[in-house]
Amino acid sequence: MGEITDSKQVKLLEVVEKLLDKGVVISGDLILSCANVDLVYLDLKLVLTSVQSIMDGCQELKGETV
Amino acid sequence: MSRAFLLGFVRDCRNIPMIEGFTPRLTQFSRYGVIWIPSPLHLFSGKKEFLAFMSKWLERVCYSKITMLPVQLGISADEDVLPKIIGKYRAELEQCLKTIAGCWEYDLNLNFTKTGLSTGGHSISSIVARNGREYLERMRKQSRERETFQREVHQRVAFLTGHLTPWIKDYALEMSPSTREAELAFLVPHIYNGFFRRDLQHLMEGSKEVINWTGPWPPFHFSSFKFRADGDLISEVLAW
Repeated sequence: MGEITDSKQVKLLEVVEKLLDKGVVISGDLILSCANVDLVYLDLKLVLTSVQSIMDGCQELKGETV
Repeated sequence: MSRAFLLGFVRDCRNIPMIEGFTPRLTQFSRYGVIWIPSPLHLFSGKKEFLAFMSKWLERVCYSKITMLPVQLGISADEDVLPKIIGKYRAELEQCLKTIAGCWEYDLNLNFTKTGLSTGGHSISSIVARNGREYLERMRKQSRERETFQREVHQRVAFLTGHLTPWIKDYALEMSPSTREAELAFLVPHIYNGFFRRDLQHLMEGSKEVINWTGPWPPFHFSSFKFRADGDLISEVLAW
């Protein structure tokens, strides 16, 4: 696929990205354990996008406590 | 064991659309199937390329008139457990696929910046208040503006849905008072597509606010069922 430079195409990709966020989602509670403290997130959808940064944060926290 | 990045669910479907460079797979259990690809992180050089392929593929899905219940971006499962997942959600799948069967989605972006009040809530809240009274006054003003905007949107949506009613099965509305924009999604049966587009075009010509529309799409806004959080599903962050 060639480079996408047309502004209409770029706009379309933004629409597609937004749409792809609207499909069937995971629901329910998720418990992440961080330094032996359970963190409960009621809205898993919010966590999905930031789970990597939370895990990174946990690693940093563990590093500090050792 | 490979990881399946889920794209959507189908029923009574043997052949799924494919395009060159993007060949989703179908795993079936009973009458139901799940469409998936290996992780996009391994297939594409970046998000833009992935979205471009998805855009083309979704277009193909629509024109093939397959009813697909789309899955939100970023949900994966091991390929081996896909039949188990389908079995577990069979009742919900049946219900949702029945609701959206034979329908496409059209999305309208309504921009109200040139109508009504010119100041959005965002600009007010960004100014630091000097005291509590000033802060409360700003909050009141912001609240009034939000209510006015919402009334304006609801009136406009009632007008649009009223005129498009014979051709739509359902609609979904999202409002953004800070940008004075609203997103309106319509669930449109294939058989009414021509009538819907004709009347929508007519309504757009006589509209005072800016309307942009896209479609047809698989019915993303009308996929009402949700997976329960369990060990079989994995969230996959797409970061190239």
